[in-house]
Amino acid sequence: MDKNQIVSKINRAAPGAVLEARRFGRSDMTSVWIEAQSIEKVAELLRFDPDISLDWLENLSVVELDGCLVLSYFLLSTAHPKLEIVVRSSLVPDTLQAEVEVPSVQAVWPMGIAMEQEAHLLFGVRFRASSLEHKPKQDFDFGRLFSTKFPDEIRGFPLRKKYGK
Amino acid sequence: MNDSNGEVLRTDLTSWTIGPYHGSLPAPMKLCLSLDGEIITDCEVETGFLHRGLEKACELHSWKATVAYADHLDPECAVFGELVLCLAVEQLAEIEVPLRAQCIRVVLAELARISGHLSFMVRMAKAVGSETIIHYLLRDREKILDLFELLTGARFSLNFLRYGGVSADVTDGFIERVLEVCELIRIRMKEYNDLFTFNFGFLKRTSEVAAISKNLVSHCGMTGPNARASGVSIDVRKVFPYSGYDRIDFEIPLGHGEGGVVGDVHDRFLIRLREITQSMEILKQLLDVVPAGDYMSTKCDQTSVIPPGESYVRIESSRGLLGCHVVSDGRNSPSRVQFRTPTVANLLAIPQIVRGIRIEDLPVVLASLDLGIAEADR
Repeated sequence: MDKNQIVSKINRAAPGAVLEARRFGRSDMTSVWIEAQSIEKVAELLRFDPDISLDWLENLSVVELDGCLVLSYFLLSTAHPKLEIVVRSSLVPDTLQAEVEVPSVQAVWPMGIAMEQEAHLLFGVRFRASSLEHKPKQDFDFGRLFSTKFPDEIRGFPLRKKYGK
Repeated sequence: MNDSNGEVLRTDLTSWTIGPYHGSLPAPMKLCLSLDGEIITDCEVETGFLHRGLEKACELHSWKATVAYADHLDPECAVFGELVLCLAVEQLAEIEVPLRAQCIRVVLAELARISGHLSFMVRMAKAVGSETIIHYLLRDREKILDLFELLTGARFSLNFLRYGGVSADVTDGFIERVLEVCELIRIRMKEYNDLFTFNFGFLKRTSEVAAISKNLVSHCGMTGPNARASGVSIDVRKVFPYSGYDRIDFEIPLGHGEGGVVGDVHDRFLIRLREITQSMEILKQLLDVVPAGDYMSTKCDQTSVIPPGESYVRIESSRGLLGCHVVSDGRNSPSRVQFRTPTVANLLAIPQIVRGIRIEDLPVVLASLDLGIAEADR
């Protein structure tokens, strides 16, 4: 399935969610920019549509660019190893120290728990619990069993550009 | 719980907290265990004790200095951090790496893989209480560290790779020394097999213990030898070849459950032993025909500014898929360097696989996962 077909499918599943689709940097990967609050709906489609089946959240990277937090979800498919897509969305915190909130993708990609915890600790991105109507059945429960913590003396979000200034 | 006479022992449920610093743990981390007698019934994992702000440090230094920080991502196998960062920056700045430099990089990476797997075996030997074998393994790993020293002047933090190549050409006699060490380790493989693989005591401690199913591998996003031990054939060197791996002929060993169950501790050990053999095969093929030419791109100035943009690159480290997302805003230092490390997924699997094992098996299971907390906490 090519980039345009995937974008059309996303548009059908979550109308208005896709803001832009373009090449990721100078690589062959496709990046699809979406509206942040529709990430879970888009994730559900990308994961469970049999033609796409992006079942592996390889990486979740957060970057601060000009005061805007950009979330990049690097997705792979074990069924189609050459299919790789980066789903991206941006959020603007109200103040320097304010948290931002997006829907969590843990219900779709359980391995995302550690990445989301890290994004919260380092950048102040809070991930809202799943709001999917039909939550996929999980064979394993990671929620309670894994946590990343930092020393109490770390206040704020260390990887934001203005941290400590 | 019943003893041999069928009598009820009336063991109570107890809670143990191990760590962050404890002899049975491979690195700083905390495990909160619930025990029914000697059986682990529940486990919670807490990490973050080794957070050093590595990614933040990269943003605060020049592009050139960032290589030295990437070196400390995983101090045990420093080359992989350097390699993934250099590849990401080279993709971003469209820097061509000469074939000779690619060859030297792969030689270092495969030597680091062998060294990493030997260190893994040391931790396994320690966990099962085989003190003597530890010395045999460290003796052989020293030979690899000697090779690093011969080429780079350092044994652990090499700081040898540069954007566009490597910082120096191979020294006289290096290639011959690598081949000698490969031959030596090939001979020692029989010794390792006798001492580990077919050893009755080792089999008893590792067979059918803490098996990882394919389903758990995909749920956690596990990669590397731990995933391959469970029969999941995934290796970045094959799927997304880099640095000339597509020109090399090698196999990806998979777990077959020789110890009893596919993906158990014994399989995770065997996979690494077989990967050492494959790494030696790669080294032999590479060193047969080391390409002539430059070891550094002539178009790349290390002090130059990397153009604005971003890139994401992945490689196969000794622990699994290591990714690097680099963002440049055109200034002298990176705007963002983010690493995707394989150990995080392995940590997610711990609570699932230790449930039901005996407490004395916990150090063996943790050692079998080859956890690199330094790279997970960063």
